[in-house]
Amino acid sequence: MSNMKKILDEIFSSQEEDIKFSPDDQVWPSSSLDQDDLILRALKGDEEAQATLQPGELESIRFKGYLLAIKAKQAGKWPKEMVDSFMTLYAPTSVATVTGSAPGILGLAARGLDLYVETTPGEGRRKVIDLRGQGFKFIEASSQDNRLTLDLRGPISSKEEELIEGDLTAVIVIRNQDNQVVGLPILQTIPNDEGYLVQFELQPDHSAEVTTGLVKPPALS
Amino acid sequence: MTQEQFGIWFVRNHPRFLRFANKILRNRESAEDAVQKAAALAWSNLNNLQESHLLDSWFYTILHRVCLRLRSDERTDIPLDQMEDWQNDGLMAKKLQDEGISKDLAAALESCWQELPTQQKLILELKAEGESNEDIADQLEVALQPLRYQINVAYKSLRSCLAAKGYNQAPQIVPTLCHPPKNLPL
Repeated sequence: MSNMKKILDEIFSSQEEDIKFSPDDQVWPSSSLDQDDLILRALKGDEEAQATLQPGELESIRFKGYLLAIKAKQAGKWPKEMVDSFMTLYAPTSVATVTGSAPGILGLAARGLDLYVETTPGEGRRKVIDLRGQGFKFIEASSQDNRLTLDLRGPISSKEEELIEGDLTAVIVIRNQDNQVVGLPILQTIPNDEGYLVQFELQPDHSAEVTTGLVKPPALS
Repeated sequence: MTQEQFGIWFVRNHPRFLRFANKILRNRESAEDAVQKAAALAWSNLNNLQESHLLDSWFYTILHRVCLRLRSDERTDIPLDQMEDWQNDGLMAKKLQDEGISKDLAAALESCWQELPTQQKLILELKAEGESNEDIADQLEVALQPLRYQINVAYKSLRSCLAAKGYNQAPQIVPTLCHPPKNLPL
């Protein structure tokens, strides 16, 4: 019997009964919308809302939203205004700080991951620094033609294959002293045997003092 | 609901949408494609959402239809502007006629179907794909009991609606599939 005929049979064969609704019969509870509003306020800087959230919850949402926007942008599936809206709302803030003062990338730090890397102006390549406590290694950073390539290697654990959190994709934002984003997010991530190469592009105006951040999925921390 | 509010809700619930799409498409890449497209369609059509508490069933309906479209289309990348038929009604009537049910009954059921609340329509659409109640509960990650309740309510509504249109009993369905030729000698 076809599916629709089966449904028709069930419609006519089901017993006439007095069906009373109880709150437990709601398929999806609607209460989570209140939590969504709270997160939205927190993302917009409402300190009271931020204090109400669980530790790490805001950072987790921020990371996921930003990552989704980056992926959608790369795939070209979302309207530009949607991508812009997400990237504005979920842009990582003050995750890490480092300063420099020359063309190109001078430094990268992610204090939350105990990572600190310094490069010298014009040198373009830097030493290996452990991401202590995380098992990640920052193998190499090269800056050329306004592109910075990071080679992150380490144990990539995927808690659940279907979850986006399972992907290791570093989100890196470079801000100038006016807090404007001067480093565009990831151009591409290239899986290799041990980790990912993360490449992103710098805006032409990167001569200002820069702030960089490296965000890692909170679920992995 | 604003687009920003939708965005928060979408981000928080993204993993379950991905799982839902993956169960239909059985391909991670296609599932991500479907979820991204569904999100874009929902984001651009939020004014069609009548009440915010219907967001789950509304979005799942969009996602389900996008998944069906992707599954039925050999092309792996369908531009957004070609996905606008996600909200076209008539889905059930077409399915009914494809399965050999008479045009009149199909039209009557389609008409009644459209009167159902969004979440009941979604659940019955999944049933029309041949999914069991248990499979649907699993796909939507909801409890079985409220799902059964919604199905019963939907069936009751459809039964009443069809009765008002002259379709009262199941046995009358089959004869309507084959109209005898007129003017046949008895």
